[in-house]
Amino acid sequence: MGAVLEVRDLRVTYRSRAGNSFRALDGVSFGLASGEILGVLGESGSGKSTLATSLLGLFRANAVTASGAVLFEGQDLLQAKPGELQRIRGKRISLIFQEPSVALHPTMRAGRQIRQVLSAHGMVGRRALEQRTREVLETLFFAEEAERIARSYPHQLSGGQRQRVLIAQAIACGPAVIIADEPTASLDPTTQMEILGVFRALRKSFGLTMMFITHNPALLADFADRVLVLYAGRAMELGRAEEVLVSPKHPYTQSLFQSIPPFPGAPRKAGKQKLPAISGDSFSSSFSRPGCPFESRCPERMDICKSCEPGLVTLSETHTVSCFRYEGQR
Amino acid sequence: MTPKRNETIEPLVRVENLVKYYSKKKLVGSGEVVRALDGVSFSIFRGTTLAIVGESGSGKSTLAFCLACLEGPTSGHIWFEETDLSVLQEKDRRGIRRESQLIFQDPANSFNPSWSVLEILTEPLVVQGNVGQKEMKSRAQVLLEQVGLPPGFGEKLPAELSGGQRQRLAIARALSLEPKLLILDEALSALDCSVQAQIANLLMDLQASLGMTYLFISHDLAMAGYLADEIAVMSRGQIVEQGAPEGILTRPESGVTRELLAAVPRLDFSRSPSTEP
Repeated sequence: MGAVLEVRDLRVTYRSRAGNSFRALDGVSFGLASGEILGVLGESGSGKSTLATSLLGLFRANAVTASGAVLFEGQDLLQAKPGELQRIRGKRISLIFQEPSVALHPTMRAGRQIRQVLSAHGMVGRRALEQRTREVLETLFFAEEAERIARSYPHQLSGGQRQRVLIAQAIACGPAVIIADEPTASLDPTTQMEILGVFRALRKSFGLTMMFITHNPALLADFADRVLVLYAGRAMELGRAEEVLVSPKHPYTQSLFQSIPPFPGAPRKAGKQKLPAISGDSFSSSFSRPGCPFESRCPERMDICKSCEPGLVTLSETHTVSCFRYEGQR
Repeated sequence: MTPKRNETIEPLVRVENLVKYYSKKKLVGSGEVVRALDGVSFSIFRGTTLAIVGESGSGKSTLAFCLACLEGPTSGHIWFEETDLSVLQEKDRRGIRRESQLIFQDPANSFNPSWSVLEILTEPLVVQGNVGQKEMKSRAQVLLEQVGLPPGFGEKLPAELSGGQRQRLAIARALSLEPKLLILDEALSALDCSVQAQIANLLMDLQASLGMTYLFISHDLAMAGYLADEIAVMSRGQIVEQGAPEGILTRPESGVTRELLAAVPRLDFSRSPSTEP
């Protein structure tokens, strides 16, 4: 399997104003195969957004150190110069953000915002720009709709339409990889399904390679090929979507899935039953200390978990988990 | 539906044929009328939860605003116990507002960022009543405990809390006036799955201990089915289907409900990959 993008032992540390350092990503490694959709599952504070932006060298001002490697087309993006990154961002690797109403310019027509991306990456000539913009919009909207969308301002579009315009910007230059950070989080369920459909269709027609970041595991079923579970900056589990979503192995993944209400729901007995929620708060897990970051909340913790960091255990050719429970039983 | 707690047949809230129109203003000519609520009727019984589900723009939030006395309806009635909210004058609304409290999706936007947790919790008491300083502090401590926040949190700022802790604080603040009804407008939607479960459990605990009545507004049918005694499905300002969660989720009658159900993401692979346009 030829990896288009390979992340090796990525570590990113932030420093707070008070001077405390905080590790947002703590040794994450994975590869992105051509044409694959990798679902990255993580709750707030898991480092999922840091992962999205650090792949493109977009670090927050208080990110003090980044180590490891992000290999893309024979180059380590962590070592790349700003000018080189500029040529890659939006052209070879595109990023789609969560909030389409914030990511679009409010007083510029949608079509122009797509043309801007194209001309920023070297396309010249009004006719060529207009033609490509039309082509891209027609892959995302019905042909008769595309023209109207191009002439609309963001506020004249629905949430789903705005998200499609963002996707249009992202695919305009024909990128090798798309990174989508919670692209459907602000949409209602029907529109959310629609946008997932758009991504599926794009993969089918252009062989799109994609990293899809979400906090909602249910979105990844029937969508992602593989799933990476992040918790407190560490890769807890990585495997094929069926493996991770249907028979999760890490106690964190297991308890996370149990805390989601069953649907359509078993007939309720007398009185309301509580959800098996994970106790505690991931907030407190995110400060650097020895051992497994999930230890304090883990229903299956052992003595060793507090003092030692679990390594990656290979369960099958495709499935790895970072937990002491599985050590020595592969 | 049979009320489970406080075996009274009298509902806490009774909404009759509620209508709310907004007019979209235009620079030239007469504005277009938006029918946000178009003849909505339902009752909420004490100690129970009614869930309102529907797509964006179906009128869910307008309904919340009308019930919280933040918007006056165009026509129709909202009976809150013996009071008809639709005919109340502004000066009488304040009294009713303490009886029903609203909780929003993103608690971060509903706190003053420079106030401590304690100040946030006691503000409603300052605004509404004549409670002494000392009693206020002790009440704030009780509230913190009720929502599962550590007693030492009084001095913290909202920014120092996690999303789940902030939503707990929003619930504590809403409870400070001992309301009878909590209106939860997408109150869980912005939270992580594991935190949603914690807050859902907290809501169930409070319902059991305080006999709270909830109006749970959401687009999450799975959570609505879990929390609610009854679900009402809204579309274009009207209730298109209403009943017990089991019926709505497994034997939906309206096309709108079926569409909403089809869009619920599920953690299984039973559905074949849908065909794309």
